[in-house]
Amino acid sequence: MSLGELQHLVMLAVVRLRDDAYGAAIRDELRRVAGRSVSVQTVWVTLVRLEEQGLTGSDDVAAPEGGRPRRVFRLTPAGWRALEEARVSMARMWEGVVRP
Amino acid sequence: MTRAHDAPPAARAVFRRLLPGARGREVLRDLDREYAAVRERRSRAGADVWYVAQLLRPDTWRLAFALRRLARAAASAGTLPAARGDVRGFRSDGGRAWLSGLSLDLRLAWRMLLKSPGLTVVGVLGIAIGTALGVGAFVVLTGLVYPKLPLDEGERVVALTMLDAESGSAERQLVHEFVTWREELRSVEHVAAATMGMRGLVTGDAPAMGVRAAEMTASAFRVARVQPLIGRYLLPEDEHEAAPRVVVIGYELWQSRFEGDPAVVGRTVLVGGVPHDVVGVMPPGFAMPREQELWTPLRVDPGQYARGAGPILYVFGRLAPGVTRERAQAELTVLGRRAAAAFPETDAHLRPLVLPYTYPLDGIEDRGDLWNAAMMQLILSLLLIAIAVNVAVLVYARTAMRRSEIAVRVALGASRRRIITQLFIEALALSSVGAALGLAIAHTALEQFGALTAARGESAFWVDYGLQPRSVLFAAALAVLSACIVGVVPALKATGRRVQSDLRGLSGATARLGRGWTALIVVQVGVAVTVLPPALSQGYRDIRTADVRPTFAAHEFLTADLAVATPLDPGMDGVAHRAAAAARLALRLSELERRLEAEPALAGVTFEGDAVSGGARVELENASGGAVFATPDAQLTGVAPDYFEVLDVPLMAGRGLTTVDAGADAGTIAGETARAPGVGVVVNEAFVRQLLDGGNALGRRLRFVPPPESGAWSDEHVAAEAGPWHEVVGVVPNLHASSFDSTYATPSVYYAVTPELQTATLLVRVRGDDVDAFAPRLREIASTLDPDLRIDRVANLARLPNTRFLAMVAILLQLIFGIVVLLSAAGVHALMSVTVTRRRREIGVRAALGAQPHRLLMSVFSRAGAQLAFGALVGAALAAALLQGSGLGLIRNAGFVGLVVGVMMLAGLIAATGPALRGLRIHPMEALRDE
Repeated sequence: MSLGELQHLVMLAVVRLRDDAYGAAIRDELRRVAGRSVSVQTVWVTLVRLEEQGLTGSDDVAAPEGGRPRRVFRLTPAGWRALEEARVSMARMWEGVVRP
Repeated sequence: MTRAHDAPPAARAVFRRLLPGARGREVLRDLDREYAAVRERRSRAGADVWYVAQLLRPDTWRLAFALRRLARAAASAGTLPAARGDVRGFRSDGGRAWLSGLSLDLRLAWRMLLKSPGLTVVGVLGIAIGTALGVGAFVVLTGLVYPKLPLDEGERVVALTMLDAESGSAERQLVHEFVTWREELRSVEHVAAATMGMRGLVTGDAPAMGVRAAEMTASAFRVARVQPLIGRYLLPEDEHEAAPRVVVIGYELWQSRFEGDPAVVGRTVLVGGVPHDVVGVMPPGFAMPREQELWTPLRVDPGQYARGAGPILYVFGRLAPGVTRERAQAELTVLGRRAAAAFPETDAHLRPLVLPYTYPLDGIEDRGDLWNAAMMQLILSLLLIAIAVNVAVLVYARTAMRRSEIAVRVALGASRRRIITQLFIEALALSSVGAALGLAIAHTALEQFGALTAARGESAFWVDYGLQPRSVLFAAALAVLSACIVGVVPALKATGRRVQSDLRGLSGATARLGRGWTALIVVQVGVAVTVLPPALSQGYRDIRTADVRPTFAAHEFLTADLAVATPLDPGMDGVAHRAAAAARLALRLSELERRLEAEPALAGVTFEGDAVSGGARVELENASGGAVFATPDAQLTGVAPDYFEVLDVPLMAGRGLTTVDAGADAGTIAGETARAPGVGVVVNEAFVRQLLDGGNALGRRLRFVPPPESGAWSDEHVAAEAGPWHEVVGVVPNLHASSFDSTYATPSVYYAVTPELQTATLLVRVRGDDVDAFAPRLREIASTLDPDLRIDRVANLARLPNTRFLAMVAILLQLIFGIVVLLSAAGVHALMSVTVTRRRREIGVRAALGAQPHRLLMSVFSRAGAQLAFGALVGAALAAALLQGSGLGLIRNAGFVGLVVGVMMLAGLIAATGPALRGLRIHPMEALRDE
């Protein structure tokens, strides 16, 4: 399965954040690391679509300060596969590319 | 601190509905956090706009669909049994087809809006203005009629009042009734009473300040169910005559006057010159009964007063559990009948009423007031309908031009319903953008207005001008209504039986000029000429009167409002209190004048009483000694005898006022001391010009008649209440004139007063350029005289800002009327250009058959001219009746009628010219071939 750029970035953010991969944190990670400023809704649309495609799963996890439970995302095996495939195909495409 | 759920509630409710399930709630929380962050960076209004704009983002809607898909998938897989609620409102499949049709229509509508930007801008602006006025009125009026008290079960807090059935006004001296109700009423709990007024507050060494205070029974705090922030609130024991004097203060006063001192409880302060111990601080937002910030116990002893006498009390309570307002009213009526039987002389005509808490405080006393509010709403909503009709005319004209397109679509199989839906959605897109803009305008304007009234301490604690779901709903309803007028009516007309003939005539055959078009043009011109001149006239009048400025050397003067806080001692009724206050003010004012005259920096000191206007009538004596009713609009101003000298205003004729003219009292005029018989008064130039037709004023006699309490003037009232005759002894130039029209001034009468007033405006003339530098010295002198002497609004007379806001509002209104004129002109232009365009080929054919061009043009223009003239004539007749009936005057406003007629005629004739000339240029062969 081929990934869109934002899907790719969101999945990487999910991996990087591990147990803290919830909506607002993912959005912050995108801004902090990738320099991508996206709206709350865009992040969530991407998360929901990844879930529909079976690339991610999610669980309700109680917030540390006893706040409302948060939905924390993780990659499914299919998600890992897609991510690795994307990385490999990207690397192949880059092979031999030289700026003229 | 910004709380997340401060986000606009209506938009938040839409989000909640849009984004279902646990994920939806989490998105909502993320948005709340983002809203809080935006609010840290921008203003509240900016953050609100940001939040509402999120609703319009495509990814919001994509997310809504994605969440629903997910919920459905989970439900069908059986993994989410609770997901049923997540997908309510969405049909399994038909919804999608419907939605895709809708999105097609929306895209088409969007394209049409972009295609005719002129029509779009005019339509959007028109509907925005109409919506802003409608929503503004709706928010204010629903706030009045359906108030929401921000108290626990606030809707169960009620006011208990007495209506005087004879005069139709409220009876407010309710000491005896209050005691009876408190002891006997079962259906209303904790019956409470309060009096309100300004009191001087002195804390430590700081100068006295006036605060909005209430003497209130302890039960009022139990009605409110609000716990004190610090210390305690008032208790029934505090109401005993021998109890120590205590005071409870509000949060804002605690912050501003006591710097939020946590040890404030136990401090002693002077309230109205009497030492009181602070026993508690109420939390923010508590301001019962209305906008009060300080509370002392109300001590009522009915033994001191006769029935119907005593202080003015506002009585309220909380409905007992399970009791309806109707049941409470029934019990109160029984008590009222019993009182009427026991005291027929005083109580027979009194009717006790249970009303929503805010009604008496907002001046709503009976059904008549509610009716007025409803009428007001109706009139403002009608304005939107008038605007919508104009936009509809424009759209209709365009739809008529699109007939061929519609006919083709019908031929290709589109149903009538489909086409009407599409035209409706086009109109809805237009009106929605207009309504959203109008909502934003209304929201911003109301917020500004709310901030202004709050800053002036005039805002009641329950008033909330924020964007409520109901105002958004109202705007949405207005948008749909406008869309119906703008879209559906023209669509029905355009898709009617004639579509088939339009299809046949697709290549451009002559469509007959229907009578419908003539009628539309006549109505359009007629309505514009009827409605707009009175509106313009009123607007112009408002502008002229809104910004009235001094014509004398105002920049050399400092002005200040003076009043003395006088304690309301038990046993003192309203009249005695006023007399005590007046006597104290007189004393202080004389001392203050003496002190100020010794100041080397000052060139003069004088004062004005409160100007009385709009209520009292001035009557002139005619040659035979009878009275001629002159005007209700003259302003009566009490001034110190040396007023004109200090102002350095030269007399135009006669003499100025003297201390003799300030003679002995002879009753009161509208709350001010009236002059004794025979003393002189001075009038201004406008009085001579407007009321005496420029004739000789000296020696003429006039008298004042105070307004009747019921508001209805009668000969009996005039005979009983008219003051003595006064001779005009001098004429002065207009001291104030409109900054927009220097010849416009209010007719004024000046009479001499002694300082026996409730409040006075001090005017001091300062030597040198730095007038403002004297302000601190003025406050200092005043505070050393008497700590209870309130000195407010010290300002340079040339810079008093109070009229500028009114002027802005008046100009804005006039601009709106102007836009409506242009909109109407655009409507006439569109209609006329369609009718003449539809005759273009007829013109071409007639030219081909040898008709003279000038005769053809004559025929076009005489027809157009006749339609326009007929409309203008009908409109002018109605406008004349309206102007005369409303008292605006026909002669004075003939110019406005002429202006609107001229604009409409011009628009119509210009619209006829283009198509007519184009018709003449059609090649005869082409015209004949088409036939």
